[in-house]
Amino acid sequence: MKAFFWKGKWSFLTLVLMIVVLFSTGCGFKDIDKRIFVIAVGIDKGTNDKKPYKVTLKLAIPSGGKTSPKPEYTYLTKESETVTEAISILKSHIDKDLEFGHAKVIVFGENIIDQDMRKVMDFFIRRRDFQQISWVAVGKPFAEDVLRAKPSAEMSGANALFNIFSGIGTDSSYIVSTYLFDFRRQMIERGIDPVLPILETNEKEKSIILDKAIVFNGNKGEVKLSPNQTEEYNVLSNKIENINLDVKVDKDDLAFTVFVDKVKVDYKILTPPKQKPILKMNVKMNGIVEESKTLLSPNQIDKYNKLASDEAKKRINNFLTYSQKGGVDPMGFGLRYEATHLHDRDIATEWKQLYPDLKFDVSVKVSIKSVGSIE
Amino acid sequence: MNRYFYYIIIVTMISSVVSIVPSLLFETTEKGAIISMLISLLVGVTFIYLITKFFNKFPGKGFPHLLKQHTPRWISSPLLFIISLIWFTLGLQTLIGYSFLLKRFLTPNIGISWIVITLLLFISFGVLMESKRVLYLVEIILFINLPIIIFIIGKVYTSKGLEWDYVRKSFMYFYHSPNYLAFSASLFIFLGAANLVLFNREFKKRQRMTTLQLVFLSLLGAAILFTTYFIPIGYNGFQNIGNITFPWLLTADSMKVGLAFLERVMYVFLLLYLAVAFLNIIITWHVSVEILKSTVWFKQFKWRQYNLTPYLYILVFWIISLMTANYITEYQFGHYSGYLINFLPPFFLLFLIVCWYIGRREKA
Repeated sequence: MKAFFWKGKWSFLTLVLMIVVLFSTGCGFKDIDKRIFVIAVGIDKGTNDKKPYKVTLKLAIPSGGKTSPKPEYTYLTKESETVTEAISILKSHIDKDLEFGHAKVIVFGENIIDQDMRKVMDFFIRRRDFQQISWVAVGKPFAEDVLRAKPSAEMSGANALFNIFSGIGTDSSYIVSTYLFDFRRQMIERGIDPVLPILETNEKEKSIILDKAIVFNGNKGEVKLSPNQTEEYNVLSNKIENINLDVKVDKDDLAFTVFVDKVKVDYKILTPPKQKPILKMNVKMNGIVEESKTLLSPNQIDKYNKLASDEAKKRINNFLTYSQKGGVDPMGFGLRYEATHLHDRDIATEWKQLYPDLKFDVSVKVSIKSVGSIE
Repeated sequence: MNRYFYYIIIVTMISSVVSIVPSLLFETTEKGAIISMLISLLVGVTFIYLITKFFNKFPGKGFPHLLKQHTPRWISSPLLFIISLIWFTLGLQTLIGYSFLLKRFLTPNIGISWIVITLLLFISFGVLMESKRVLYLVEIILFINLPIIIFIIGKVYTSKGLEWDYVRKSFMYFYHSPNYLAFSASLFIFLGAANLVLFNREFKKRQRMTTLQLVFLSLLGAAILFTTYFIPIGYNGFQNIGNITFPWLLTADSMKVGLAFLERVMYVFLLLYLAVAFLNIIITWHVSVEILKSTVWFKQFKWRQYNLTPYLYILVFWIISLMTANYITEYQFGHYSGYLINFLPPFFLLFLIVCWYIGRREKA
């Protein structure tokens, strides 16, 4: 038996492999010049009820080397009954195979987010080729306009949208980046509401501005956040790598701005009997002074710390009560409540009654490490 | 114990992460999954302890040999046949599950038969090797893959996408009474030790199972169970985790790894686990074929002086695998796998009783 193995084995294996090669050519593999990469997908509301979805694809056109100054894109747009149908029709509008593996940005138009978003995004979760780590955003006024925008600073080889969200390019703390998987889990889980950034473009489509966000209530986009609130959300939810929060103090005869680059947040929910539930939040911030209208003396730094702390506390309180009044929970306090209380059948309704009465007890400790290069 | 013993256990533990086990566990998230996992940890470690204790008494002897020695033929033959059948089904289950995964995520344009055939080609080659070489194969593949798997698991734990609040929420359900399905699903990861029925033949020196080794194995089992169950919850949320078809694939895809050109880690993950699942199939089918050899052997079925019976087994394996892969749907697959996994605990209880009986006969 052994001898048979040794004699026959290799020739047999070679033969089998050769036959397999004959059969498998051209089976699943398409060359890269037969494919075109979709880098962003936009979904808007269609013009009539029969075609509720308008799908826009942004496709990258490969350009030869660094010679071309601007990246080239082409766009495909189609209105249809379902997203799938729109995409399969669009497949016939181009000679190459649409490849979604690099579609890293998904934009929903502002007019579609008042629908049940679970249905709209189902396609992206169900398909295997969309990355779960693609970024989701809301486009204003339309997703299509945002995709078609050509920011003047965009260079070939680096897509502006990717740069904005990845934090590798700009690292503004006004920018909320939400991954698809994060959006999904927050949407279907009770006790936390998803937040999406709003991408705005101007009439000429020469720039993309991103400094606002929208909080979803249930499955619909509802509560808009101003730039400041967006920043507070970002800082508190610990979502961004590089924090650069500006705390402006304007009191008495002092006016200065603290640049905060390190934040530590922890909170817990207390439910003392016969009292209103309290959310105790401790925030620690480190930073340096970036701008001041008066001379700052380093030995009065405690005073500045206190002023900045009060200011930050005011802002955080504002943000928390704003979302509480709007009936949304972007920070996931409800989730934390369920995560710290034994499960029983009524826990969800219990929290629903508690949340509107929740009192926020925020204590902020800003410590200014330096007053900058000059006093 | 011998280091190869650990390899076999580790292969079973790791490959169950992407198998049907997490899906079955997530069916019972609100029905006592956690307490069942704790019970299965205890039972699993006891199982490993008992089975190693039994086989360590007989260095260099496989279960078929021992069974034939101590029981009449009318008991040993059908029993061995059933054992071989179970091991075959386990391998088949891994093979089909993995082919579905590949079809869905890696090569959607290739037909399922082709995927199964490609896998089977290499698997049959591995199955027909000598037991000792199978062990060497396991060692070398694990040696290549384990570091990267550990790296990815490390990334899973440190990535910002992991939200511990979901995990903590799932803990709040621990007081529900245990569930049999969750118990047998999580017990499944400890069953690798049972491969000793055959591989004990290769362990010719006297082995000892020390307390320290047992503690190590239980810690490893606990860590893998924890990862299998809680990490997908941390990434995908708690409430609707049962709706996800491949929870671990979605989890692997939810992770961003900034490593050179590598950003989306799902495909790396898929290939790594393919290697481990491949080992798992080879081990289980190798055991199956070797046990089958000891009961069903056609002396006359020869070509020149070579007996072709093993090739006949492989042919049967191919036919069954191809037929099942083509006829079964994903839903049915999950359904039947559930039955199979539910059937395993009583089966291994019976197996332990037989072992105990043999051990007593040997003493007397």
